Amino acid sequence: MFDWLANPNRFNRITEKIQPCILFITIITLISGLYFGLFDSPKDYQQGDAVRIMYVHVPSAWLASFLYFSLAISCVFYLVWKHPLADLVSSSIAPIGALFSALTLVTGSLWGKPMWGTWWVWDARLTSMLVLFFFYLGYILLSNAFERKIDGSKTASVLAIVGLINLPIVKFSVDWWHTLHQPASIIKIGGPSIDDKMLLPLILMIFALSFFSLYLIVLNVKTKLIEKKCEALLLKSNLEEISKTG
Amino acid sequence: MNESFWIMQGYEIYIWPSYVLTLLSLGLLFVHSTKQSQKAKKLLKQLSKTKN
Amino acid sequence: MSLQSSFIQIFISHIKREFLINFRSLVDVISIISFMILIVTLFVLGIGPFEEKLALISNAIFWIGLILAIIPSLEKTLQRDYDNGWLDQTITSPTPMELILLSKSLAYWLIVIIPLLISLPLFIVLLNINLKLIPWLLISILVGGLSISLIGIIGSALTLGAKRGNILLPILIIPLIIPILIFGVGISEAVRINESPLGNLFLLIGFTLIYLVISPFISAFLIRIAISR
Repeated sequence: MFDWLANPNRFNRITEKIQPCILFITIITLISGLYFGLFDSPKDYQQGDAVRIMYVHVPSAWLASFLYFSLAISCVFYLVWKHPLADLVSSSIAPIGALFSALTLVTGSLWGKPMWGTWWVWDARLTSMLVLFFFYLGYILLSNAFERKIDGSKTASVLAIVGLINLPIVKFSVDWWHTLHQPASIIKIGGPSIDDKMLLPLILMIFALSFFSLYLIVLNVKTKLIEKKCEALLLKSNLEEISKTG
Repeated sequence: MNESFWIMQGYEIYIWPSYVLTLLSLGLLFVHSTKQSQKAKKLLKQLSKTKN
Repeated sequence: MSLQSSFIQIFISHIKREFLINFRSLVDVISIISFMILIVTLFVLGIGPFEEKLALISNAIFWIGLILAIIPSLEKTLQRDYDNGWLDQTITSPTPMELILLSKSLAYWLIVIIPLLISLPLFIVLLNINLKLIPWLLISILVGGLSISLIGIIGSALTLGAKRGNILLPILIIPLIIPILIFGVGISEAVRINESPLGNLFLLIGFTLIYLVISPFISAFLIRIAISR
């Protein structure tokens, strides 16, 4: 199916139609998610209103992980099947994923302060998320560290795939480390059980942020395609100038 | 929306910054991407015109 | 039969070569040991000489000192060969690049391990490490040091020809090394509190085996990309 999308013109035509739909879904789910999250959902019996932070924290966390997975898969398409759009998709995903992992850390910190009294807790989830942030950072830094962009793309893609292999191991080892050092975890960030009424805004926000990411990724890929065309045109006109005057 | 909504049981200094930060950063990313897209489209138009 | 033995001969000759290049003098041994001692000193200066505190974290200090001492010289392992064209030559030779890289990893491991083993008595004294920990510490360093070398070769291949590769390499490598630290310290910690270290040890061995297999292939792939520039 992805071969079919490889042609940039076809890609542009299809996304031209889909983009408004994606934006529409984003706005609808965002507004309803915010409404239910902030107004129409119950307070937690332990955490009170503070549980509402969950409606931005958990979707960010989920999206940060999912986007990294997508990033690695996109890199596989680039390296193995040499799909022409795959690299553009990878470089579009990376900053968005990095932002979500950073947001997870900040909202996690803001949630932790009223709950546990400190601005940061080295619990397994937050620590893994911190490492994931550095996986993203490594990808972004490496892809920009070479003279030719293509070298950066290829090496960073390998890094992303190695990262994907390592990520479950890192998550496991951090979980392991955490249980070794904290025999009894009292309140899990998220509460021992989630009320059904809380599930709705949570799912809505996950959808909202997912479709938002999708919209941005499509937009960025299109922009990069246009930039490539501009580069090609500039190169052509430079060559023509040189051949005229030379 | 009475007082208690905004105060959120005293957690408001944690809840509102979380939401505002999230929405603001996503909004900024949106604006940035849109601007880049428009800039690229304009450049393409210019280049195609001068070619023809 | 002869092909097999010649493979092994080539393998060993490559290890010898790496060894000779990187290990020319006593200075190298002394540098690694000194660096580790200094890092340990920094930690202790930062924390305070309180015996009880140090007993709790001496394992961690040791491992972190080890990791920090190994990382700076990782970049050199491939960069030099890349710069002087040796990699270009060996790519076209009949010896598979993967084998060469495996020998590089093993050589680097030996180069790091030997100073460490020599200086181990020193660290036992400095950090007041309990004697019953020693065999487990030895095993964990041997296995963990090998995975650090294997991951290090991948990192070195990733940053071949990159701008500011020397700063970039640690940033890329350290997140990948985290499980080694956790399991490695876990082994010593388990023994210290009289629990079985085997869980952590098997996890560390498993991790090392995974990288033993994938590291040569991934690094060879990256080198081919780097050379084709």
